[in-house]
Amino acid sequence: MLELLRKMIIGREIDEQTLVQKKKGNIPGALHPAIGQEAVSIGAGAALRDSDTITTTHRGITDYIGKGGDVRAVVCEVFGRANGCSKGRGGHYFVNDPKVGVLGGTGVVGGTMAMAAGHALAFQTLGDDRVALSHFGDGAVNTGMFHEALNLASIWKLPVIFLCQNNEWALTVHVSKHLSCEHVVDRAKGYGMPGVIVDGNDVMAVYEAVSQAASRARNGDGPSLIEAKTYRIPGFATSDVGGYRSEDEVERWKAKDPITMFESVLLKKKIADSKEIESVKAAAKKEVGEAVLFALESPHPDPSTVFDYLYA
Amino acid sequence: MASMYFNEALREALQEEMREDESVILYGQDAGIYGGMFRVTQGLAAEFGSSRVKDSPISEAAMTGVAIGAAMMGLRPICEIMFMDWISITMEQLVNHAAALRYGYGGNCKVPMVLRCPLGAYGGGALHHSKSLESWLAHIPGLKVVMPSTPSDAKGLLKAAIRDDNPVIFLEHKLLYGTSGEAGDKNHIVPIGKADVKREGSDFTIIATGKMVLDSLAAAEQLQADDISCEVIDLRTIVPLDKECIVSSVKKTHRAVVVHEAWKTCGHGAEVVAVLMEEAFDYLDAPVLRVAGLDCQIPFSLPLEKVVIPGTQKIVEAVRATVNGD
Ligand SMILES: Cc1ncc(C[n+]2csc(CCOP(=O)(O)OP(=O)(O)O)c2C)c(N)n1
Repeated sequence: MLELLRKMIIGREIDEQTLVQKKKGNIPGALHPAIGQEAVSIGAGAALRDSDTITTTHRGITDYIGKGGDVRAVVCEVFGRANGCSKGRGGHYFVNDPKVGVLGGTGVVGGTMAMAAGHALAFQTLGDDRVALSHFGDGAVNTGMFHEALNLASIWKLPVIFLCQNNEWALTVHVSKHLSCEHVVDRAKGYGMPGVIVDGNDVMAVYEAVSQAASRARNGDGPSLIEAKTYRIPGFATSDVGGYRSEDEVERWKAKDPITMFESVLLKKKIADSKEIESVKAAAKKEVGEAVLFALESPHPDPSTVFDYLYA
Repeated sequence: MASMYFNEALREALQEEMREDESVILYGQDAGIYGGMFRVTQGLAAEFGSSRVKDSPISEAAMTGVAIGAAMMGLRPICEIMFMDWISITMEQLVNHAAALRYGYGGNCKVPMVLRCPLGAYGGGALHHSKSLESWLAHIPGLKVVMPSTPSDAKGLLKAAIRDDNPVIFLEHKLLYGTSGEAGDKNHIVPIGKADVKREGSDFTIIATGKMVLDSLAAAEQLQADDISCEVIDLRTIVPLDKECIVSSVKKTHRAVVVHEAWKTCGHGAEVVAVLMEEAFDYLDAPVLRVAGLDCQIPFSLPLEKVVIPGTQKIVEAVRATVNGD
């Protein structure tokens, strides 16, 4: 349980410390922090085995951490360094760590949903009991890919979990303005799969829901759709100039911070005392801080290697 | 006349055309209240209301198809695809429908729509936010492909695109949004299909598009110091191609390079070279080189991105190589 907390804090620290570095001009491009959504990423990852796979999105660093991805490798990648998880080629859009089944970040909304179904097709064909999970946002459910992937996965009974991180906003457009139904899971029925809503700021609730969907998939009963209701606290990216949502709304959600909420659960259930929690926090902060320093000292890719990895 | 930013010039074109013609509507992701990722549509939702300026869901295929249908029914829709990298999602609708309908229906309909796309590398956009895919579109008969390099051309060409009765793909390099210049008044229209000589010269022709026009002008300035007088032609429109302009320039200078940020292999520069072979071969004193994006995915790392994306230095080198080669 303390491990769940630790990973949530690692995700949070990576976002916060890289935002600071971005402000200092040390990181090219934009960043897409997932602050506020950590319970979904970490709860989901904890419910899966190392050999299971996930695909993720432009906001995927904490999803990667949840699945056991290496901290240094992703931080170095955010800085575009040669020792990053994508050798400086992909940036935070392409987080990956195949050893622990993270294969599929993307800069294209909806780009990886069918890919997760493809992982599942391989597992089904090979006859092993692994499952694939696809992380995506509420905005992604309006891509054609969502509809095609869910239908195909359903008729082929693929062992895949579609996990929507509904953070209420697709960039600057509220879910009530872009979604044709009240809940994303309202669409599950049409694709012949169970649809479950969970509190996306409750790491244990996410863990339970994903565990159930995973056993269903492992039993050969096919895909599930889970909608984790959560919220993105920072701007959609470092390029966000704001003006589309109220401070009040953000404050209301800050009060439901998934990390603070989980800390009180741990304290109340006497799973950890505040001293233990503080030391987990301090250690996570230190680990990420060291990764950032390591990244800053790491070499940029050598221009003469530019074509490396283009073809196998 | 006041100087304005490239993105303001685009906004002014949209605003003027929407005021002038009620059939002009626009939509795109975050194009409404927020005003667009690159601030082009800022204020338009407030002025024209949600019936004419809409935020669209993340549904690029449907966004494109809806533009086609609305255009068939007499509207002049303008649809914004936030980054050109995702034009891949619109391609079925563009290639099989937008480009094909009028021909397939024997002239019984028209599709006056504009698809606006920011494109190009802008520092750390990586593989999914950096591409220049204009050559893909230039391959499709029935589409027009427009790519301005200055605020004035941006405004005049966008107005022409909106008034055009055909599907027009309108391409805006992200690094140009912050450039500024005069943009002309309400009646400023730049005809589609006309290239522009951005700098006159007598020894060499540099043929470029979009942001590469600015880099070519900088290269021409450097080469002047070597006593090489370069003419810089801004194609402005990739389809239809202004063959007359490039051929007549090469007849004068006898040497040319073609520059674009798009990948080199099968890039539209190859088409320009072929036109020169077909129509100006006897006037050429040297092979026509291409300066283009390296045939590589566009990497996140800035030192790598710099290798893949062409710029002033590579243009200078290509011109020098051509001059020294003969
Ligand atoms: C195909 C495609 N269209 C548009 C975009 C631009 N874009 C990036 S993130 C985003 C919003 C995505 O919303 P959601 O799926 O809810 O994920 P979130 O950003 O909230 O995590 C958009 C429109 C994109 N990356 N890919």
